[in-house]
Amino acid sequence: MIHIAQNIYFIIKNSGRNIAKALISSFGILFLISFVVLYLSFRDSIKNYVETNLFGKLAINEIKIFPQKTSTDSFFATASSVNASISPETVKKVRKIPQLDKTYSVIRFDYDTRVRGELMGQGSRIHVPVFGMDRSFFKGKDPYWKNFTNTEPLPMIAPRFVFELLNNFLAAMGMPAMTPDKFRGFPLRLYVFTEDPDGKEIRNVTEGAAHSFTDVVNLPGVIIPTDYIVRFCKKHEKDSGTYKKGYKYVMLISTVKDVKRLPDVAAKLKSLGLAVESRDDIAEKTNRVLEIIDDSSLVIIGILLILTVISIFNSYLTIVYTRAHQFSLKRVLGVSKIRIIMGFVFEAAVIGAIYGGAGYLVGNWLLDYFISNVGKWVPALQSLTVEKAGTGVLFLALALSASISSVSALIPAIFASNINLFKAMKK
Amino acid sequence: MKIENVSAFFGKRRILSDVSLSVPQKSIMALTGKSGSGKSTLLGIMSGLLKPQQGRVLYGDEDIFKWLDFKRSRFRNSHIGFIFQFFNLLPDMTAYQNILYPSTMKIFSKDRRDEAEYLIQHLGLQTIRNQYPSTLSGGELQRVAIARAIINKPRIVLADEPTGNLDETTAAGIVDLFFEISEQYNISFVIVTHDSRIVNRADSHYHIEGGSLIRVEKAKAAQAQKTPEKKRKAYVKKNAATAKKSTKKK
Repeated sequence: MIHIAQNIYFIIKNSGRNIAKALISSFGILFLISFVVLYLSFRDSIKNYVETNLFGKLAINEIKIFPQKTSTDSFFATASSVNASISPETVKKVRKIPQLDKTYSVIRFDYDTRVRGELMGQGSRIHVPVFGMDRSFFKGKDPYWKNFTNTEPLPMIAPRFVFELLNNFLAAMGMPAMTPDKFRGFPLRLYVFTEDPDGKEIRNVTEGAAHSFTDVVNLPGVIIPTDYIVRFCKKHEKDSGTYKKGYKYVMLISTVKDVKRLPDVAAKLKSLGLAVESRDDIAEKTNRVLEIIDDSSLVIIGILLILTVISIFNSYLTIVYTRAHQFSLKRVLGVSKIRIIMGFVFEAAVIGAIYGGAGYLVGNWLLDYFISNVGKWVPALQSLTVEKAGTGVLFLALALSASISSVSALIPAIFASNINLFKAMKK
Repeated sequence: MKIENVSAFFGKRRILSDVSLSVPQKSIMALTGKSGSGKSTLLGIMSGLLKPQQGRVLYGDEDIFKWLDFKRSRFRNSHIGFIFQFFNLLPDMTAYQNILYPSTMKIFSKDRRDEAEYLIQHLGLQTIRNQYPSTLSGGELQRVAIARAIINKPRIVLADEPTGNLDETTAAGIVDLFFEISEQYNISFVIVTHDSRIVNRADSHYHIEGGSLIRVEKAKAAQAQKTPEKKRKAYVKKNAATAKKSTKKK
């Protein structure tokens, strides 16, 4: 029994010594695995972020209806939709489609609009598009939906990223972060600029208050109750001396009675000169974004992989030549070719796994660093929640790095097992 | 062990041509020949490390080159011992570990520690057993290499110029050791050598020339060994005479 332990000790000692010597050879795996860990951790977070912050959220039976001019192929179709409009007649036709259950319209002020807010003594008045939506749309989506009515102060819903920006501003001022509820009731002021018959600007001011933040519809502006916009426009339709409606329909959000009929509804809407986006379209868009991310990541991984394999291959080839004497002596003393190859590949696998583990730790460290700093670098990405790589990724990193290293060492290992023994022994 | 009609080539160059040889048990065979004549190649073929292009190497009734590499390696580990001119010990192992090394290649191999202890006593290696090769003399290194070669009780030991790197006295001691070991352990030795002591005492002597293996009879071998000595003496005499003449001229 003791001699078996001794034999194992000899084998481990021998491998251990060689592993220590060859450790520097596979350094490239560290970078590769770190990148893979970062990529895998970011992938899901980016997917969620893209889905919610860029394309908005839709229920399975909800569809967004845009003017045809707005290409739905564009990732930012909804953002560009603010410049196109749907005619009131088309809106009426859409409302009459029997397969549609409810249709919510999104209107936009056709006047120059600005919103003023003040935080920590610093105020600013910025040009911002103002949209109108019915409160019933927010039922089940916003806990305060009932209060979203045309009252004084006027409730205003801001896009979710504004909340992140505000918190980022507070952080820059050394203040603690606030929850969305804490911003509720925050005083705002809406400016709508109409013109008198002489073309002179008329400033119409309405006191408002922050109502909530939303990522349900990804409109690039604030949302106020439709009633307010309709009444305001009715009141000011002849300010300039000629009739101006004052608002336009930029989007409709409808629920379909039967999801299976969605293709029919889409065809009907297209025949009205409209474009349709469903949850599937959003998923498709998200997938296309992910494809771009995946493709570019795969290119980087591929380049790192090729460089790593070449460097490991070269290092092991050098190791083979420097250890030719040792290999040939082993062959002479009775070690088979396959055992030389296995030993070499095992050695490479252990080294690979060591770097895989190290790469996992480095990747996680970089992830920590990124998570704690991303808000400072890109405020809009503060809502990007990144989860640290778990044990699944650790096992993947170990397996991947061990495989890469052993495959890279395979050909040098075959060289090692075929060294001209007597030439090597003569040296 | 038998070699039957073996031919070996390096590229187009024929190294061995239709060589046949039988290694009897418990015998010492000397193998001589010029550098590059194919002596080491023949040892490589006998050990199953180099495959000949033609012919067979039989161990018992089996051609060792029909075995898988794994089986051939096991055969080499159990039945063949090697001794080299430059000792070829593993530098990171002590003398004791080097001796034991061939018996540790398989995890479940036989326990050879007692044999190792016995060989250390027998070959007088007690004082250096825990020393590393870098601290040992040529004679000590070769004795450790001999112990390593016979630790697994092989049937044949193949020695490639084992005294080529040793001084006269040490070489003589090593030669004695070969004969003693062959007798005591029932081991055959095939020794590639230029050492007349080995050639003179060997049970048989073969010479390789032009790829062919020629058996040299004992009397001829003695003559062949004397000839270079005569030449050397004549050369020394001639040089001495030339040196005297030049001194006189001055």
